Amino acid sequence: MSIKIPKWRIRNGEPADIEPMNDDMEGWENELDGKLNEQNWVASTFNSMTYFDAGAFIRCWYANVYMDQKIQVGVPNGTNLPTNPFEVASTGEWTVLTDIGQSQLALTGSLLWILVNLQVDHSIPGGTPAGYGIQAAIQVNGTILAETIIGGGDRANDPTGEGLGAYWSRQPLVIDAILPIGPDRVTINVVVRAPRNRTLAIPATDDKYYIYNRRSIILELV
Amino acid sequence: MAYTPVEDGDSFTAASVTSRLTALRDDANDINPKGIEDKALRKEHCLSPILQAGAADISPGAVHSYTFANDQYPGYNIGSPGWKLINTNGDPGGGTPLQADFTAVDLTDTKVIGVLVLFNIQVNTIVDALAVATSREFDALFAIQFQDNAGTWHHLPESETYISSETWVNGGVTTQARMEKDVPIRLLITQTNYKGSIKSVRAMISVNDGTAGWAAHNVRVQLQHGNISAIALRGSLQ
Repeated sequence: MSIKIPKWRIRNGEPADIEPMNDDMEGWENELDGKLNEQNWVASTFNSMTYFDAGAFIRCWYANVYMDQKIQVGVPNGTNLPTNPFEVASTGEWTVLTDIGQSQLALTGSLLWILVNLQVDHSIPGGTPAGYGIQAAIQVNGTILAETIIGGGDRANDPTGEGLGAYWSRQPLVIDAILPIGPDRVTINVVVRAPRNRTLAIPATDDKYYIYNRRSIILELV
Repeated sequence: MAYTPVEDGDSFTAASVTSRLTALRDDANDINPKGIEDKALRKEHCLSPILQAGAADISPGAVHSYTFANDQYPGYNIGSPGWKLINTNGDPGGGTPLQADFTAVDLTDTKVIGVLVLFNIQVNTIVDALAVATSREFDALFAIQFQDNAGTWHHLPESETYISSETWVNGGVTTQARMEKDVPIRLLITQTNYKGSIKSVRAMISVNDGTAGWAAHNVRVQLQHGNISAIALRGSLQ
């Protein structure tokens, strides 16, 4: 206890006196009634998972879509499409990667760590790529978080266009975000798009970007 | 307050003392939020959400190289041979490895989410080591493998990640572009991957040559700085 209890000690040969005894007992009672503080717990009091529900720590939502990405010796990439690739729309519009999104997460006021990992591939058999690259971002309740957009938002900084890998892109990308969220039901998605290249050209119909392996990890830290 | 003070004239018997002590015990067994001061629990009192962690990084002054001839990509979800442990010596091996060790974690524990793996590697070049061919169809592939408590390594197919070479035209001459790119992998190892305890993760590389019918050449991947972290998380997988 953080206060001195008992205040009075009954000694051998002394008659029991109700005043010090009540004082001692009420000390314990007061402590239990509202004064327990950090000194009441031994440092290792709760150092066992036995005392905790798993939900007392991190809650995690994990979506993991993967496949044989058809990488083969002697076969140009993008020639043999894997099963279940996600084709990035060439319209310039943001498209939701629905199979790694999380809908209606019931949060009670949280700090989220969101990690997104995508494998980007590009297919244009026998052609010359228009060079538009892709952009990807995290979307929360329908709103794209501007600071999570991969690729340039200002083409003045990159004359080849706004997309990642504007000329040729077969590479992975990762987006990380730490996001405070109030109590709410929250839908978190990953969105991708093919922005225009430096000439604002519309890509040829066979000039396509794909997302192959893809995953999202959402960790509710507190 | 449950405690009833002893008044003058009250009997002071074993029963009366026991009754009062019982009231105190019941209070101790029913502590509610009002009974605890703000900030009564500090970091020292509670478990960390991090159950175990391990990390490794390499930052050699020179690149380390891996070639198609020695580390040919074996195909999807084939853990060995073909994959080489990334290390500061490259193909010959024996250098500082990108391998993170930690005290074994039981993935079947219902209060363990799994092991979060964070990996990054700097890819400097992907070129023909013989300087004969240029192509965008040379690939460096990376994967994460984990070791169970018995010492067996397991390949994670979902971790297979690749980056392809790039070319650019300079004065009408096609040249293999220098990469200088980061390849990241983020994933969770859960009991879906393995029902048991695991104690290490490592980063692997293999090399692919997507060209066919060309003059003899040998794709070479040069790496430099890299890191891998493994973080075992307490909590629940929703």
